[in-house]
Amino acid sequence: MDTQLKKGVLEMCVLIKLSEQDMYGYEIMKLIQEFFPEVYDGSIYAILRRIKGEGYAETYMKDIPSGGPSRKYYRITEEGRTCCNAMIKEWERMVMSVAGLIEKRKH
Amino acid sequence: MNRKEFLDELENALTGRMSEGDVREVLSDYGDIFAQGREDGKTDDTISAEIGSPARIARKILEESPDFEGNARQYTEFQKNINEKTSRIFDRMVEPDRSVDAAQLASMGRRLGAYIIDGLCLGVVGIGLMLAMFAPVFFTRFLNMDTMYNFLPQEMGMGKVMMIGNAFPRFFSMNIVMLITLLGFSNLFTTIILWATNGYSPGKWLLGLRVVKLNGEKVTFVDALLRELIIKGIANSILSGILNVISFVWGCVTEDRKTVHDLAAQTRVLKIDRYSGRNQRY
Repeated sequence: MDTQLKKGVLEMCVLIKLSEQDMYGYEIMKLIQEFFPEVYDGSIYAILRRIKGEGYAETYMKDIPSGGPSRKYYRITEEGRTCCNAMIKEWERMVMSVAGLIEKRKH
Repeated sequence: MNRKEFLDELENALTGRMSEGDVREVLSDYGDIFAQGREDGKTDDTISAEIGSPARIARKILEESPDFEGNARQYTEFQKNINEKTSRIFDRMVEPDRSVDAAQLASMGRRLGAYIIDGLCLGVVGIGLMLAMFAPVFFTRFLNMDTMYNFLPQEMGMGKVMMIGNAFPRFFSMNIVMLITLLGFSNLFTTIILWATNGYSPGKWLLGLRVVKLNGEKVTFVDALLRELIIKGIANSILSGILNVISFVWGCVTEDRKTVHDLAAQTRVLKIDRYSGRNQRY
């Protein structure tokens, strides 16, 4: 798959997950890898860093109850939400167009 | 590779090429992956094997970071394509293949042994063939030089220039022709044997080695041709035998003991039990 496209899609997936609840890196990674097993660990972290850099999410540290090292949680910002919604709209439009094209090919 | 080694290597690869804050961020993320992996009951070695080598990770991170100087250059689609392909080849050369179990891989010493045995076997066959082919020349050259003079250029397609001079260069040039023919033959033989037996050669069979495809399929004729004739034979001859030396050294230093011909044909050499279990996977 085209890497640019894939990056965009993964970024959208991460934003969707974050808009549901705050999460830490590893948790997001495991979730994404359930759907895209070929995604390498680092790329999710790279996406998280980019999202943070663009101001779509912010981080805060939170101790875990069992007493291990504290985790870095990601929280989506307002801008992140707006961007996420725009991305979903764009995605749906694209999927519809592609589905239309495939449907036409069948007949 | 344990957590500390991994992070140190990653830090070395990134320092000076990204802002300090970014480096710290990346290191904390990867520290996180290790911490979580440990909670899942994995060892550091497993985790670092899953992540990949720090050098490769660093390269990917730098490629994705916007302020990396390498990214300031505008690449055309064509160049990007080439870069992508080159780095993929590089990854293949450096990274061990996950589908191969390191414990099954044959040692380079054994492979060298098999190579020597094959050389000896084929040398005997080849010299026999040579003798048969050149018997007329051998006999006539000692009896009558004029016969030789007339015989050689036409029969072997050599220019007259080779015949100028005394008997010694003449003999010498003949040896070269024989040697090239011998080499060509031996590599053609190993190609056919490798393909026909699906992964063996006399030496490999004796020492319990077998060539397998990474995807677990049969070694095709094209694979065998690429591996034995084109790389080990022709390319190696063009490079005066250096290629096979490089292969040997590369095989010794890489984790899954891949040689140039292994890379080209996407094969690995496994240690198998000649008498019983073969190799279960293949």
